Amino acid sequence: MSKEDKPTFEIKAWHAVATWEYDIDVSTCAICQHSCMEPCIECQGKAGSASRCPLAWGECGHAFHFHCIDQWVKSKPKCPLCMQQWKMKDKE
Amino acid sequence: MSLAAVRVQTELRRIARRPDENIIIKTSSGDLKCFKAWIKGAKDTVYEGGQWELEILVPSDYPHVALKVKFLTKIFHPNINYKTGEICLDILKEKDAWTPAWGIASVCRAILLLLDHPDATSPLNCDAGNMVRAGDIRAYRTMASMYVKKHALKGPFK
Repeated sequence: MSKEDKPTFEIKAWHAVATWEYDIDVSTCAICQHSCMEPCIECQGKAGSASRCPLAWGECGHAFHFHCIDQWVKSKPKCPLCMQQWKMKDKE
Repeated sequence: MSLAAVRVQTELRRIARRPDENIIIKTSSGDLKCFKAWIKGAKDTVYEGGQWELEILVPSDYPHVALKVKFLTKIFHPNINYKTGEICLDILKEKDAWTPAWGIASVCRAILLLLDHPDATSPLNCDAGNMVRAGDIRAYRTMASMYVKKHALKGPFK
């Protein structure tokens, strides 16, 4: 048997892993500067935080962590990125 | 760690990765609440050749409240107080245009832009403001470049 016929390694098992991400232009939360795919700074490191740190979408089309934008609109009800009046987009 | 501290760290990492040739941020011994920054006057402006040191203070509620920035190096500009270094810029005021989308690097860039775009309607330096308002640009340029030569030629930029 020639050398080329011999496999150099052999796959014994494989596990499929799927990932997903939001289809948005701005993938970083402008308030905490962390990725929108991850929990906000306040929630980082807390157990089970990923499921309890949702995103909030404005009618202007910008997205932030809900916790981040919720705190900001208390001081000024405007989108941090475009300064339009902040209005949460209704969930589809 | 607080939101302010974590966000500042994130910003500093980003600045280190993509430095701006006209801005140098200096962190002193890991203090995340107080920085010194240096900015360099843009080419073909009256402030060309100048370099100024800024003090940047990070409030504990940052980024929900604005960074506090002032000039440590003296500068002759309508919107900057010659004695105290106080800066009149809308994005540095919560009531005005500050939003958490601004950060250390973008505020420094905004200050650099302010140098070449003075607003004579809200002067902190009345002499400079009056010159610009009266249209005496030659006098303003002469004064500004004189103060560049007097105070702002030394610094980390070559």
